[in-house]
Amino acid sequence: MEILKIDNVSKSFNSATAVSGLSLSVEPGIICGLLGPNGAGKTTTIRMALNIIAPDEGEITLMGERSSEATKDKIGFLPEERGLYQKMIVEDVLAFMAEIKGIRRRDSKSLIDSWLDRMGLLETKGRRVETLSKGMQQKLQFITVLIHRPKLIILDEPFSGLDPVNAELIKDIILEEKRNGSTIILSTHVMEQAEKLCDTICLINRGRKALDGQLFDVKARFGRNTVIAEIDGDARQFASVAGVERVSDFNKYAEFKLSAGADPQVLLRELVAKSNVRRFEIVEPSLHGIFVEIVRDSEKTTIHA
Amino acid sequence: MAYSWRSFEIRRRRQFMHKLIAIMMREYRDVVKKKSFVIGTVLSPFIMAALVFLPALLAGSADSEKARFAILDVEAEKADRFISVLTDTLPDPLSVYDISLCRSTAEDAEAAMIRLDSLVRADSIAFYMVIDSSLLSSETAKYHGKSLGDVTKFRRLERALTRVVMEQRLQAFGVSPDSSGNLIADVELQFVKLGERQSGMSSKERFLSEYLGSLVFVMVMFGTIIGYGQQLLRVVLEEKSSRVVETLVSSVTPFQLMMGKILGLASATIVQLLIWAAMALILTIGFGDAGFVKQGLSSISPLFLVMFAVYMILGYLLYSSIFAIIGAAVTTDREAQQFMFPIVMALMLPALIQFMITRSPNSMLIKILSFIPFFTPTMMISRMRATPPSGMELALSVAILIVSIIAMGWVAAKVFRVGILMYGKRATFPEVMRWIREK
Repeated sequence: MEILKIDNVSKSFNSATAVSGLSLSVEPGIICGLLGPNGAGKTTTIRMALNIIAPDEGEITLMGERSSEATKDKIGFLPEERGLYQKMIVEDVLAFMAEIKGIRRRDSKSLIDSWLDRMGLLETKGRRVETLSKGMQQKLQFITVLIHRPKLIILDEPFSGLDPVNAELIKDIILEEKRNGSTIILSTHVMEQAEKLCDTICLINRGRKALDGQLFDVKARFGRNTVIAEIDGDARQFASVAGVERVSDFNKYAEFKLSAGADPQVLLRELVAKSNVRRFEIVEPSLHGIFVEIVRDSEKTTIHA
Repeated sequence: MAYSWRSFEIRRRRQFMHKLIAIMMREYRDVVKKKSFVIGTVLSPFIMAALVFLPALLAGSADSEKARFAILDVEAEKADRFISVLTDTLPDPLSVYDISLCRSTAEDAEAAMIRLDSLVRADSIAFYMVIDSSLLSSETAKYHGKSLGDVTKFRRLERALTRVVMEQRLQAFGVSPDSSGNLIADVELQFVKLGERQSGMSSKERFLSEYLGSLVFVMVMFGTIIGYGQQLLRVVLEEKSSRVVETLVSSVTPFQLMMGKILGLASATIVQLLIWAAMALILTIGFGDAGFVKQGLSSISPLFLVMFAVYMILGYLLYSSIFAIIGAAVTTDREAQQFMFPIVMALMLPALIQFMITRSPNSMLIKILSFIPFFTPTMMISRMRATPPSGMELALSVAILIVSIIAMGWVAAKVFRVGILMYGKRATFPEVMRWIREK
């Protein structure tokens, strides 16, 4: 049974459509990337899954149960905009957050200790939240997401604002939760992270699903029609070469998107003729490339429509 | 399914209550740990007591403070008579007045006044009076001092002078000074409150006591409602600006969140009332025999205290819905402040028209105002201090309040649900109206 099933869900605020006819199902035990540009409808989708707002149309089920107040307790949620009561004591904040997830105070005491220990925050137990560094507060917030052992963990931009050390720690915890059998939905617009972590992805654009499936399926669907090349000079001068659809210059290297059926050798000959080639590789498109393509195409359609 | 639908329903309700209580307890702890709670709880009864008992205390000790003053008699020859009229009725005049008598001719009057001026400046005497021929010709005498001082004492001096003049004129009709005393005796109008056969206070003292007394109760109620309301507002705004609310709504409903907050602060209010009740009890048992305490307490009936608590809690509940709406609709403290003025005005209305209430507590206007729910708590308390409204009126006002609380709470829940997740900008009035209509 799917952990989360979103069935043809729509939601609009006043006259603006936030989500329209969205369907998505998340299988247990995977990390699913919910991707999309800012304002695509990711947060609205998550809020509907959490029963914070009700969909206008369609249905959302969690573990076979229609999304309701009762299903809230099975989800651990890390909002994009994080915050804890600054004046409260660390231990009290955790006890309170556990309590409103349905864990009684007498049961949460040992849980709090073991989580604080795991995060390396045990000595901050009696301190006020405001005295903790930003990274420590992020870790504390992460404890509130996981303390009630949720089956489904929804993380909205979990790495934003973390330094590499803390980001690594959070990544390890996410993977450990996955190994323990939890399902994780990772909402982000940072494609590199999604590419590294996610088993499946769902790309949302303008409230609609643009693309979903297993990460390797998605990439295969876009074919091996991408070339990564390290060359001297401005890569954009090769944009007019036959078969090149788009060039993304990343400074250190450039990514060439070729049209379907185009011969990469044509591009290689051009590059050799006009520049100094240090690397030429035919690869699967990066998630970033796919993302940019879909978003750009949709914008084009709107303009032409 | 192992669970029947019924047991699932019970589990669901229990879960709802546990979460509600968790939020309540957090708010409650948050408030009672604050210094302002301790100070407010301990200090306000003292201020209350002081202001309730002060008139009684003042009434008892009004004559105990010696009035030191001088009389300058400028060829009028009335000073002796004046002093005896002033002190005749007193059992122990020397403990009340310390009067120096000076006489002068019209030519020396100016010099004498300069000397007396310096005595007033040096605080050797409080003031001096100048009695000259104008007392009989135009019924005036002069009072020289730094300030007017106690009005009551001033009137007493005036009355004594009046008597002196009247005696003089009656004498012209052949009435002897001895019998003229009976003719021009002053009448004192004493106020006896319904249900009390004896009055310890003159009407003036009674008015003062009622005026200050009800003002104090209104102020305490006002302070409590505004204080807890602002606390609610502050917490909602803090949760919005720190984004804690994002995490909260993933665990509880906005309704639970709002109710938990309102009830958590209500429990703090109730605890405060209980502490006050305990303090009052100790005061009554420990010092109940002291005259001024007795007099102060005699003006407070048990019904009044119960109703005070009822109105305070209901008033808090009504206003807390308004504060919840404001908190949900605005994004900063400063935006919230502009809504404070009408709230303060509504709650302070009885204080603003206190004179009217004390003077004519049964006028139609006062009655109508006291049934408008936003005014009810403070208006009713004010009226009860003056003349107790009938039991019917009390019951009706409480009923209207409860209905209004439910209605306001319903509106607040609607606004709160949408508003707490809006941070960017403050909501406009039409937006808030739309939130209320949304299903």
